[in-house]
Formats: sequence, C-alpha cells, structure tokens
Amino acid sequence: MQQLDTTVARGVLERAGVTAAVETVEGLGAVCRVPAAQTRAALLALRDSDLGFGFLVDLFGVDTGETIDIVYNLRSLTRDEELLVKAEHGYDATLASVWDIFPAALMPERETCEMFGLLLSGHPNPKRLLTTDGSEPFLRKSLEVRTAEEVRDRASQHVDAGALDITASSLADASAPAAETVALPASLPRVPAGVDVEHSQNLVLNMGPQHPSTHGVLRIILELDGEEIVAGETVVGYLHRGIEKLAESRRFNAVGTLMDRGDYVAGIHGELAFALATEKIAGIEVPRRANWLRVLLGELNRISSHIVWYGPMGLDSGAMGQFLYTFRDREALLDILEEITGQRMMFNYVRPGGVVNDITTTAEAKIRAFLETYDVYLEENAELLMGNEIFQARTRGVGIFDRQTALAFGLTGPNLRASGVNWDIRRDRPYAAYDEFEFDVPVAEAGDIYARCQVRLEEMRQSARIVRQCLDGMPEGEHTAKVAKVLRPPAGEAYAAVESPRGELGVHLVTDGSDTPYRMRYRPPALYALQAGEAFLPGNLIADGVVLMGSVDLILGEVDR
Amino acid sequence: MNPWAVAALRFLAALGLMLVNGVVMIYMLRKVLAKLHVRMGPMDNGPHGMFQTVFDVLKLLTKEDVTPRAVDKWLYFLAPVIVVVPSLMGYMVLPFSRTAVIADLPYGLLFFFAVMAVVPLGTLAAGWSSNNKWSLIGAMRIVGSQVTYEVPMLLAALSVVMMAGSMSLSDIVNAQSGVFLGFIPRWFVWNVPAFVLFFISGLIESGQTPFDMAEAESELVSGFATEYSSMKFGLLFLSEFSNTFLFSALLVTLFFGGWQIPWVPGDLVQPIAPFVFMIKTYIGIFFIMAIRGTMPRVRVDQMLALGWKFLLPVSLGWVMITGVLIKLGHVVVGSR
Repeated sequence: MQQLDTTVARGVLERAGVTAAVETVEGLGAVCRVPAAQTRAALLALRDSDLGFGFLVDLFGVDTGETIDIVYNLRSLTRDEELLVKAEHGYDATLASVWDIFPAALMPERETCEMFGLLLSGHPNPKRLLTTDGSEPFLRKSLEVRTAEEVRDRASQHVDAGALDITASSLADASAPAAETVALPASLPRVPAGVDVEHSQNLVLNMGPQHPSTHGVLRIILELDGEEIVAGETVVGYLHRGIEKLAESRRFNAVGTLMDRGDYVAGIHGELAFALATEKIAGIEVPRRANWLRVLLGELNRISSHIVWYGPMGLDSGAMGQFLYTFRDREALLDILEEITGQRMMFNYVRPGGVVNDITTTAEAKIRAFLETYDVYLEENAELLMGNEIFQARTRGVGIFDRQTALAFGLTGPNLRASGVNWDIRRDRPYAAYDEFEFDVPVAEAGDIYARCQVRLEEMRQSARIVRQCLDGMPEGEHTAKVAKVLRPPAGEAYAAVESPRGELGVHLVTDGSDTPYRMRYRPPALYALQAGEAFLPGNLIADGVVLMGSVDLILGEVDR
Repeated sequence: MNPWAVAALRFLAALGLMLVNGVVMIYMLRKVLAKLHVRMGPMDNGPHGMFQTVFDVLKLLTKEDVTPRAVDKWLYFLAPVIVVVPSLMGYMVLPFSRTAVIADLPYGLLFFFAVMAVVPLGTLAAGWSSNNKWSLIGAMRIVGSQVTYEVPMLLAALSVVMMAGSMSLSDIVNAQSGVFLGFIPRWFVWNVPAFVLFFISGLIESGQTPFDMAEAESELVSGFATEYSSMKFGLLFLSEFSNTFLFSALLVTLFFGGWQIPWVPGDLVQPIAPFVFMIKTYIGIFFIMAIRGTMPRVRVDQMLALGWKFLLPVSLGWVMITGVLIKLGHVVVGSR
C-alpha cells in the first residue's frame, strides 16, 4: 500500500472549494476531515481527480459523544492508496446521500441513519434497513446495552432518537432540498428505488423469507411483468442481532464469538479481522506459527465456505445433485475444523495475540487425507455442473457486472475479480502469513454468473494449494503471544481487513483505553454484494434472478449482523 | 360375460395399475436419487424403507383436508379430477401384450394424445383456482409449455406411424417384430431423430427435469400445487408420476418394440409379455429419474425457444424426410 501524499489530497479538495483538514494518523493512514455540508463536493472531487478514489470500501458512523462522525473509507485501486473521509454531523442532522457518487453507499447509508438517529435526504429508497419502526437508534452511546427485562419494561427507557421519528419506517427528510445528482453507472437498469407495492400495476410477488433459494432469511419483493422482473427490492434484517452494539459491551477476547455469528459459514475470517484490528491498536506481535495456523484454518474455512456456495448454486439452477456431492466434502472438513477448534462452525479460535489451540498430529493426517479425495471430487463436481450445457446457457451472459459497476457498488472478493479487477487482500495487503505463500489470484473478465463460478472454483483449488504449503512448512514455535487476560489497548483507531470467502471483511475498531471496544464496525462484504444483486434484478427473468442472487454468495447472518 | 362387468373390471385394473405404479415409482425415485446423491434414501419403514411410500399414502389419506378460504371452490375441487381422469384414460390403449389391452382402438395413438392434452387444462385450473401468485405462474408455465411440446411430439410419433402404417399401438408393436441382419432388433428407435424429438418433447410433457417448469423448486417452490393438501395434493402428485409412466410406456411401445423380446418369437413371449413391457417401461423411467438427479433446469424462455425454433421445424422436416425415405425404400425393395 502506498502512503497518500496529504498535500496532493489537500490541493484536490481546495480546488473543489472544500475546506478540509488532511493528516496522517497512526494505524489508519490518511484521514481527511470535511464539513458535513461539503461532503458530497469533497467525495466527488476525490473520485474524479487524478487520485482516483473510485472505490467506497465502507460507510459507517461513530458516536464520539459530541458529534456523530460519518466515515467514508475510500480506496484508489489505480494508485493503491487509501483515505478516510470523516464528516461531523450533529445529533439531529440530515445525512445527504452520496449514492449517486458511490452506489455502494445505498444500504450502508440506510443502516447508518437508522442506527444513529439521522435523517436521510436524496436517497432513492430511504427506508429502514435492519430494524423495524419503533426501534431506537441503537448505536448511539446514550443507549446502553440492555437486558431482556429492561427492554420489556419500556416505560423506564429514555429514548434519544435525534431527528428520527422512531415510529416511522421511513428515514426520509421531507424538508431537505433536492440535491443535484451526478451521472449514474450506465449499466444500471433503473434507479434502485424499491417496489411501490400500493401503486404498482404489475404483479407484485413476495419471495421469501421462507423460500428455498433465498439462502437464509432474505425477502425479495418482485414486481413482475409476466416472468420478467420490473423492479426488485430486498428486505433484510431478519437475522439482525446488533453485533456491532454488543461488541461494545464485550471484552476483546470475547468479541470473536460475535464475529462467528456474523459470517457463520466462514467464522475464522471474522475472528481474524477483529484480532488483527485489536493487535494493530495494542501493538501485539503475533508468533510466526500462530500466523501460519491462521492461514491454515482460514483456507480450510474458505474451502468449506465456497462449498456451501457451490452446492446451492447447483440447487438454484435446478441440479439438486451438486448440493449433496459438495456436502460430502464439507462433512469431512467440518470434522477437521471441529478437531482443531472444538466447534464445527462457531469456532472462536482466533484471538488477539494468536490462536487458541495448536494443531494436533491426527488433524494433520486428516487434512492430508481430505485433500486427496477433495482434489478428485472437486474436478468431478466442476465437470458435472460447469461443463453442463444447460448450466452454461443459464449463466453465461446473465447477471453481468462490468468492471465499472463492480467497483461502483463496492463488490469485493471473487465477485470483483470475476469482473476483471485484479485485487486480493491476501496478496495486495498481506496479513497473517500470506506473504510467505505461493498462490495465484484467479481473475475473469466476463463479469457474468459463469465468471463468478469460474473464479470461485479456481480459488478452491488455490486454497488447497495453500493448505498443502501450510502443512509442509509449518514453523515451530508458540501458537499464541503472551497476552493479558483482560486486554486494555490504548485509545486509538484502526482498520483491518481480511479476504473472507465473500470478499473484504473489514473491522474498523475504535478504542478508548477501556477493556471493551468503543466502536466496532463490521464491514459486511455480503451486504455490498446484496445491493448490487438487488440493483441488477430488473430486466431478468425470475429464474435468472434466483441464480443471480445465489451467484454473489450471500450469507444473511453477515448482511444483517 | 356381461360387457358392463368386463368394462368395470378393466377400469379397475387400470386404476389399480395407476395407483400401484405411483407407490412403486415414488419409492423408486427416492432410492434412485439417493444412490445418485451418495446417500441412503428411506431406510426405516420395512426392509430398505420399502413401506415408506405406503405409509406416505396413508398419511395423505388421513391428513386434514385444508381448503384455503380465497380459492375458487368448484375449480379447486375439480382440478385434481381433471388431471387424474385423462391420465387414467391413457392406460386404456397401452398394449401390455397381444391380448392384454383394455381397448385396442384402431386410432389408439391419436386417442392417447387427445386425452393427454387435457391434463394441462387441469393443472391450469389448479393454478388459477388456487388464487395464489406462485400457483398462477406455475400454471401459466404449463400452458406455455404445452404449445411447445404437443406439436413436435405428435409429428415425431407421426414418423413412426408412417413406418408402421397404422395408428393402432398394437400394430405399431407388431411392426417392430423380428431382427435385421440376424441380431439387430427391428425397433423404430433406429429412426433416431424421431426418437430424440419424441424424448425431449416427452420430458417437457411429463414435467421432468430439465423441463420441470411448473414446480421449479428453486423458483416457484411447489408451483401450481402450492395450495393443495391431503389427498387432493396426492392426486396431483399421482398424476405426475402416472404421466411419467405413460410417457415411458409410450416410448417403449413406439420405439423399443413394446412387449416383444427381439430374437424370441412373439408367441413364446406371450405369457410373460406384460412383465417384459413393465420392465422395459421401468428402465425408461430409471433414465428419466437419472436425468432428474443430475441435470440443471433450463429457463422458461429457453424451453420455449427450444420448442418453437428447434423441435417444431425439425420435426416437420423429419416427417417429410421419413416419407421420402419410405417411398425410396419401396422403390428399391420393390414395394409391398
């Protein structure tokens, strides 16, 4: 990663007429503070300048106790630089949507506003995202984490909701003046304004939350003209557990259990992201063996996660055999993970400082035995599904995200690489011990569903390659650093990201010197994938819509957190 | 014997066959899919779970019959009947042996297609009367697919009729007796294009993967049958299996010599002819199930495109080519 030259950024913002303070902060890199009213101008200038900050990694809020900081995490892929833009908002402010500049902001903005009690202006679909009407802005510091009894006893609550009317499901600020919009990506079929159920002249079909191919509890409202989707709106939040808020009342060693329940199919990666962020702030040196174990478990978990994508992909397109074939591998894999970590899915294995257990010799033998059969089964499965004419006819040229769209919607991981963007955090921002391994990063150009399948398949092969290197070259040493039982990292701020099977799983951690995080932001790659899928539903047939939503690999636990 | 009693007995035989087929095929489907999917299938009730389907039927019979309030009551009750009766009538013309035919009509094939064309009407009625959007989409897909498969299927069968020179299924079976060159069975399956066309259209007709549009599990969940429960659902389900059986039986009759065993004179086969016929039919069903276990589903527009842009023109062309070839054959061999 290049260090951003702050004077260049300051120059760009000055030319756009924005009064901004740009500085370099330990652990975060370049941070730019802009006035709330000039956020849009600043982001537009940064996007369109030579700096090329065209990728919105994440958008979230931090309640500092005096203001609400809205943080835009920007990345420039052309110059390999990163920049945090922070805008201070009052407690009853209105957030001006930047979705037309960065379509990736569509859902994070809704989430941020409902969670911090802000109103939203200029947004095409300003509804609550995760909570229902009647919910307070949970991420405000003035709202304590409550017990079940306290929640039941509504009368004792002090609701401090700022400008938000908590009885309403809409976040829209009716009084806000309409902002000038900038050009949207040309490939976008229509403004993602949701479905007007009451006034629609077409057939409105409610798909889910109990539907076999919505991958958990996703609800999709479809407006149909015959079999063709005219508009689609996803409704999420059925699995919302407030992981970000709960983390504020957990000690640093215990947050891993929460992260497991976010992306529950690839728990190791969530734990790892949080551990990395904590280690960054606390300055903990991780032993080499611990890092290797993190890589080993991470890659095993990646295989098991991709399997859970691959099988249902077959199921979505109507081939039920795939599902059961892939679960043959997954069963063996979960047994291995269970032997090492003690759990099949909710591992809580990676902790700040290292990992919990060392690997056993029997587990090593089991992994080697698994890889033998895995190689054969993987190729068989790949040939059976990917080689099938019908499957190819269903997936080639369907659900295309071109390069620009993928970047604009904040797609990461295999979804981004299938659109021709060669970006892998394991290689470009090496963490754990990934710089010591040899692996290829598969990239496909087409950006359609088939390309996403190809990329993920190749990733499954590469993961097996990394696992083999891990077993062959595992260094001796401790499996964890000596870490205090109750960690009290100094006050600070850090962002750490890992390449989870679904993409960039990031944790933005703010600490205040106490034994619990002050604010923990979980960047959910599946949420960004979901909104891209939602925006590109129109124009497809129902059958394609199902496969499209399956192809971006949604895990609803992570979307809802 | 009283002709009415004969008719009644024949009717009961067909009904019994249909019901037993349903029970056997459901068990078979479960086991075949299980073997294909590296799992066990039903194992608990009886040896290897053999009585599982029997218990399932008992469950369906004794289950509470829920009628949703918003359905169109008359059509809702009538639909399973419209679906099952034509399917039952299809058994009438199947030649199980030389004599074991319920009604050996001279235009048996035509009769068969005529009654089977009524089945989609029943599914449409089921989907429409359910007053459910999912059912409606499923029903519309069935109607859409009917116009796709019906004509190519008829034309493909027509080319067989031209070869046999008769529309009676018994005559078609008889025309396939004997062997070429001493060992190749004289089956009409060597009319490969007609067989392929008929097979694809038949898969669409019986709603089998890769053309299971009407109840595409991952899209429409249960399609037209969503609102049905208890034995009404059982009847819809039964007719689906019955249609698969009929399709396979027709396939055997038209292309694989019906009840005959090649190399064995017809008179010798007579005592076991129905068994031969059933075994052949079940082999066909096995292949259909194997396809169901492995193939993904085509999209509905791709299926329509296949029907209109490929099956229809090719089958039309093939009828013409068959005619020319038959005429040429007559000229060369010296006519009959």
